[in-house]
Amino acid sequence: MAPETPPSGPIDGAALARIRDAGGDDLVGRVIDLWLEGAPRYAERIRAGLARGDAREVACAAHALRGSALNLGALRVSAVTESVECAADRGDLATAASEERALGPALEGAAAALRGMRG
Amino acid sequence: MAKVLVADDDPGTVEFIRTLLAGEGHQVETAADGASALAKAKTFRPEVLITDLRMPGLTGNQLAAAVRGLDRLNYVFILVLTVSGEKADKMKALLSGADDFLVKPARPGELLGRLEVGLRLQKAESAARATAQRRSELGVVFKALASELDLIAIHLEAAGKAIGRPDPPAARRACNEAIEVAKRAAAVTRIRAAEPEPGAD
Repeated sequence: MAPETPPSGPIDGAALARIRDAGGDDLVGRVIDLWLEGAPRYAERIRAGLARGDAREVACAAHALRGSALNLGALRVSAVTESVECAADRGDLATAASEERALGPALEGAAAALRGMRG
Repeated sequence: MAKVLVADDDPGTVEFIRTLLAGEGHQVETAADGASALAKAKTFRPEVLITDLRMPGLTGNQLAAAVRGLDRLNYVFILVLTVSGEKADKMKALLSGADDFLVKPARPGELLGRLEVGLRLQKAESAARATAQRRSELGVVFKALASELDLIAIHLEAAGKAIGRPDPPAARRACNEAIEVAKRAAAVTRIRAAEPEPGAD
């Protein structure tokens, strides 16, 4: 197993090392591609849920994006979505919307770093 | 090799687990939501279910409870894999029917280790259930056998009484009845004896 490296930047290298352990660079590439394709859709579901006032949908989409971000070590995305999910679970959509504003930049940072790793 | 069903709405997590487990020789089926996972559980009949908690449609807890009700003989080891490490979530999952709980992101070694332990438990639990089922069936057979033996005793008793009287045809009839009943009792026990013990293959 590869040694863990402390997280620096938008992606935690240890998470990618964990995926590499399971299936090599090929799996890392596939998981990155799936995330680059799916993360914007989750973000859109969060925004749509906020617009509709649907706390359950916001919490579900935030939870899913949080899980996928954790899988890849996108720590900032994970932290933002956790805040959104917690607020939505409480039914506090105003706070969820406020937290969601940080999601766009976090996603862009993570996506750029992952595209760089993908080559 | 084990049959493993993975239920998670994150394609990246599913791909990670699928690749890891398939690389170890396991047969893996996947589902992106709870309802699809339940449908696949009915046909795929997994030995292990790895499920997220929060999914569209059925939640992981609802899925675990539903899978528990599917088949009382073949035990399914249920591992919950979720981002939440909250005690309340763990308790709720375990009370819903899960056997184990792992917080995302799962490390390959830990996931494989939990799976191995789970398979040991699954095999032991399935064997215990098969044995209990067989004991229950044997109980029914022995009750039937006992009834037949009671009848044999009654007929033989009648034959014994008849033999003392000047009525040989009646004694013959009673003996013939006793012989027929004894043959039936023997046939029942032979059928059961020919069936293999659970886990004997």
